[in-house]
Amino acid sequence: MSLETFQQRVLPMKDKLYRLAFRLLQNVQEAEDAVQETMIRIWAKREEWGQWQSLEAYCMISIKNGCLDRLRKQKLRSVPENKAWDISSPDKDPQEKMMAKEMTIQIMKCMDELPQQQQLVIQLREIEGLSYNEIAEVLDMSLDQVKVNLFRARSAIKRSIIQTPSACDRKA
Amino acid sequence: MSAFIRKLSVLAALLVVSAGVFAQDDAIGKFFGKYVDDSRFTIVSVSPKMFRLLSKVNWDTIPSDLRQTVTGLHSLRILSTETTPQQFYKEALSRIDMKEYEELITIRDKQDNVRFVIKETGGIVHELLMIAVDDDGFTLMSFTGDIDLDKLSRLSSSLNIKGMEGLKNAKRKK
Amino acid sequence: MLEKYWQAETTEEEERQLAEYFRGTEVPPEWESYRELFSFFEQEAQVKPGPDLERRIMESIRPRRHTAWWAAAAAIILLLGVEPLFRMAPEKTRVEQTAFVVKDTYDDPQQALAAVEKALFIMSKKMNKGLHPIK
Repeated sequence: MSLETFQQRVLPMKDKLYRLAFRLLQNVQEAEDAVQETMIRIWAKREEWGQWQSLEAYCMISIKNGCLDRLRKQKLRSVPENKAWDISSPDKDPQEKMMAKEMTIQIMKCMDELPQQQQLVIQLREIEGLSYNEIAEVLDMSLDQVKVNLFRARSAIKRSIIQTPSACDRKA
Repeated sequence: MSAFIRKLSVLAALLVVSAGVFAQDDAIGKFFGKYVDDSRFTIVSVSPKMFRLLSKVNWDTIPSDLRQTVTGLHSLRILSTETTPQQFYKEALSRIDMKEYEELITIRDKQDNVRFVIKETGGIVHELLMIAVDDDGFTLMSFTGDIDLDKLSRLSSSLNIKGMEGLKNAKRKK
Repeated sequence: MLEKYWQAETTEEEERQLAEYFRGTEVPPEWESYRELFSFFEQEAQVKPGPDLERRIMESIRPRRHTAWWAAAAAIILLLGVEPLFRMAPEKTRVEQTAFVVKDTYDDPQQALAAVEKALFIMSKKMNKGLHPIK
């Protein structure tokens, strides 16, 4: 596959991949690095593109795994967490800084407190608009698991926005 | 392996550890780690271990100034690129805590910007760091060890300059 | 349909309709918070990485356009007769190699020495530019 194909098909995915990376890593610099790394990896494997059923799914799986690896390594160094809803944090996406609405912060907080799998399902469904099948492929889950995670995540978010003040109730 | 060599090695290790300059998470190391597999960059790394090997070579053909300078060194790290040098220069400055260093020389000439900073304790310079953006692009060079700045600055005149100039021209040809 | 949504029973098309509905102005007050939710998701979908990421990616993909002039330099220094002779067999030290993030560029001490000399020369030269600019 040529450089042009890469530019037309893979490169445009950087936004999507970035959002996924940011959801996992909660850090602008790290997320960008992760995207760069993933794209380089994909380019290195360009001979294999024909074999993959879905280029998009492969890229998302690749960045997901890359980020999980980073998180694992981070844990070993015990880096303090940077929460995206801490507005004063310099790593917070500048766009998000402008939305100081309380409800938004609440939703963000709730999402960040969900178990990782639920967070990812919400990210891929609500924000990226993937189908259940696609989500199942990227996250390596069965369709039922996707549905259950989505149900639990939406219920938790619903509870958190109805009750004020609220803690995000993770129990389904 | 003799007990003497073993003792020397332990001593070297202690010196290295106490100098604290090779901790895996130092800012320069991190900067390197980020670009080590990036094809835009040229990376040179000579570790303390390699320097120990160097010090055992036959020095007959080498000027004594150079020899003295080299044997005092512990490590060398170079990171350079010709791609978007200004950007990397800025990034280097932001990632490395310049407050930990003492400013030595700063050269600014149109687009060029070359900074030399050092870390010094007890009258001995044990790290010399150069962060530069100029005709050669972006270069970050770090020497650690027991560094004699006077000797080092005089090296460029005592070494075989003709040969070096030839190198510069060879590079420009590309 | 909202109920189906909470039960995670909605299709993509239905969810799209819900999002469309909540974008409108005619939303009953008790559902105001749901509107926030859908708006939140829409905003999140707009999040993008920095503007230079794309360029960085393309630059790391394109093959190297120049060979390391360091390697050439080291080779030339060797030719110039500054070539050291490595006489002793390499020592196997028991000392734990202090962690180096990047591994040694050279396996051969001769080459390493050449690179060190070159680096010293470069550094020295650049230093002198500052000390004696007229030179």
